[in-house]
Amino acid sequence: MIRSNDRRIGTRAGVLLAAAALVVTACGDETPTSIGEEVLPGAPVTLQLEIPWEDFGSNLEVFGGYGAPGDLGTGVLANAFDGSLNARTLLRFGTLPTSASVRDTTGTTVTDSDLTFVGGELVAVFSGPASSAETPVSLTLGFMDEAWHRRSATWTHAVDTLGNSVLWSQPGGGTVSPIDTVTWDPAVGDSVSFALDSAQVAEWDDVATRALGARIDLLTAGHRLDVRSVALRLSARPSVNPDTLVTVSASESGVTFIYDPASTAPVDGIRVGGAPAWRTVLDLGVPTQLTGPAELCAAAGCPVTLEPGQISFASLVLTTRQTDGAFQPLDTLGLDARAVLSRDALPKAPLGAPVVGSLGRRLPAAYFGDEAEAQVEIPITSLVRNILRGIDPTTGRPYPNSLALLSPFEPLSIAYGSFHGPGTGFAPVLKLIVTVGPSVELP
Amino acid sequence: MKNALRLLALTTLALTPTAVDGQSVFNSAGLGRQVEAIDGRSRALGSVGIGLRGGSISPVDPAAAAGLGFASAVMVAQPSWVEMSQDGVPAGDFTGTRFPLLGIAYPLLGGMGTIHFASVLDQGFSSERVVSVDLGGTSYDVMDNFLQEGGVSNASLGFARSIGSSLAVGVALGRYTGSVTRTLTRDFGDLDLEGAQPFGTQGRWGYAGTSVTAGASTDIRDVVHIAGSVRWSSALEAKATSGTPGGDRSYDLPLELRIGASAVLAPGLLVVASAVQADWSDMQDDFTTTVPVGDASGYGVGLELSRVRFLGRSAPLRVGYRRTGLPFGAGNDDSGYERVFTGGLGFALNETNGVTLAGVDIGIERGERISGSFTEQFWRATGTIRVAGF
Repeated sequence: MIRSNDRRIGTRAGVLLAAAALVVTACGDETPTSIGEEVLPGAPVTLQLEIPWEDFGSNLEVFGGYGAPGDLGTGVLANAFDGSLNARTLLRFGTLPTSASVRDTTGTTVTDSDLTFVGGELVAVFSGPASSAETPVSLTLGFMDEAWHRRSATWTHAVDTLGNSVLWSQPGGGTVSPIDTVTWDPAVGDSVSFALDSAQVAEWDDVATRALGARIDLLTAGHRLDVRSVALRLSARPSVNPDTLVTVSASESGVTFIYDPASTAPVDGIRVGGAPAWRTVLDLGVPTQLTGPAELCAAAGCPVTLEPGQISFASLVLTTRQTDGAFQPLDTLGLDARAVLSRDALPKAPLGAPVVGSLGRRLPAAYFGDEAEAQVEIPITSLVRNILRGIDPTTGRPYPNSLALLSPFEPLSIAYGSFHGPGTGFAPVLKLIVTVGPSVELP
Repeated sequence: MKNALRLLALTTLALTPTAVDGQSVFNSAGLGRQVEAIDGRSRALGSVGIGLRGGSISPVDPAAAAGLGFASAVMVAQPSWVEMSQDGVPAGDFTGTRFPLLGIAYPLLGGMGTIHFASVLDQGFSSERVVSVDLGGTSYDVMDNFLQEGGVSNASLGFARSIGSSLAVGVALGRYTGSVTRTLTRDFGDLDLEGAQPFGTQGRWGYAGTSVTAGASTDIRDVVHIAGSVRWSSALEAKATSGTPGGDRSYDLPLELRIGASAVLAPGLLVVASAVQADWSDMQDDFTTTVPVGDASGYGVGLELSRVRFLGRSAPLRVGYRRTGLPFGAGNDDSGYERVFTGGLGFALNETNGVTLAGVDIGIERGERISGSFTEQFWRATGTIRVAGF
């Protein structure tokens, strides 16, 4: 009996071993290649089509007012830039620090809550590439005399919200109490310091004055500067060690800029960017049937009914144009494109995901200046394929066929980009790379 | 019976359609490469699968099941290692494994009922070509990738029975099954086009058809065993599945005749010879493209030393030679042929009173397939697991 069981176990083990060996040899398959191209299906035809605006585009509209300069968190200064643009930066800081960690006379680090401010400085840092100045320019800092609202303040209004509209006592931010005037030399550095004496710091520490904030003006005409950041640094004498000075910083609680003149919507073009931001929306009508060119007809027989899978690549080709000098980009400009999910809800329509990456397509500033008439391609392959599909099976509704051209972040800069629109000779073009092939058949 | 049903369920599971790879560049020729569902013993002896002494489960020798004394099952696995050359120049190598035969036999109505799942045609291959396209006046190279997956199988039910002491007959009714998916993809990845998407077109066809295989065998004075079989097949219908733009197709399958014999030359020394006749030429008219279609007839001979023992158990040694035609080939007018030198051994895992209840057979083949300018040299192993008495 024991022998019989042993034999059975041995048999099973043998069968399992043999099966395992067979399975192991089954690993690592590599598909063989063919005996020649003649066994492959016929080669598809790939060709590029450029469809003029009249055959695919419609309902181009430019919308403005997205965001506010105060959303940027940066400032702009301008004085008769390009002969017309004036801009000033308004800023506010929070409560001044009331304590600091300092070493007392014995060398021990303690928290001193009894600080005596003896002076300070307001440091403004500029964006070199986004600023026009190449030679020294003069700037002035002053305490604001009038209250203002960070998100709605404009050149003419201190407050411009729903149900509350307050004009400045004079356009451009009203009056100020001067603090300091300095010169910024771009060749020396990217920042400038406005000096504050103890009395001015004390004034800044006053609740009422602190709420009003301060304003920076550009005194030198013909320039536009981007203020990247501001910082308030104060010198204080600690009570635990009066022979030394410590530097403390106050946190910025609001920066915005006001400018004049406000830009107006273009009559015949495409605009993207600015603050508040501009968007351009257009409708795409992708042709569903092609009757040429001859190469396509020879391969597939015309008319060819376009299928989504036959669109190998699609892009909207825009041509840049010279932007109004006052708002011309001085640094690269981001361009994004998104499907408009509900055109009826414009200008507040929800948008789809970016089609050119989260940072958008970066365009050189020169495309809107000296190198205008440059072509920019916005890849929209998925969008065009969906338009050809018609109905979204998951929602039962048509896929969106409207495209919004906008800045990747709104607002991103006072500058905006301009592109030629319909009727200008450089109207947008829909570029399609279409691949049409014979159906795969058995040999 | 419960064990038999369990085995049948496992077998059916194992046959659930899956993507397959190939073992030969000739998978791309015509309807693919013919795969013969024969076991490791037949492979080792160079046989075409018929005329061997002793019972076996063989789709091409339906009468052979009558020689089985017990309920039995067989599984065959077949890995290959292939080196390909064209005009004498090495052109790549690849490996692949198939399971060309799964079968069970169970006593039924005084005879033996059988179920076979057998490979018929292996069609898996891939290929690529570089195509130049003109985009806006500039020429670019893009890549076309083609992938074909699938094959043709045959599932059959059979019955075999001895008549008298020396005659056995068998018949199997089979159904061709399987599918093939052909996918052509054009890849624009090398072009600097953000968001470009590959172009793809695909077709899938399901195969259907009927086969009837009948055979008989006889023993002459316990010295000579002779067997023959004939397989008739209906047209192989390839029906395009829903969404496939390509059309349905139909292919005439050939009548297959097989004959084989084995004779005891001396105690423990067996000589075997077999031949197959199958002319696929009639299928030529069914192709829309130029495909060399030929005669897949062939023959094989071998010797078996059946009294060899290893570790106290039966371990017969086998050698042989075989030459058969290829139904589909490369080039313009020659379908080509395959020739192999074979060897192998069997090993009884469990012998009780002279009856092998479990065993394995290993066949090793070294051969070549030649057609047109293409030559494949390969090693092919065929492993068979046999169990009985469950």
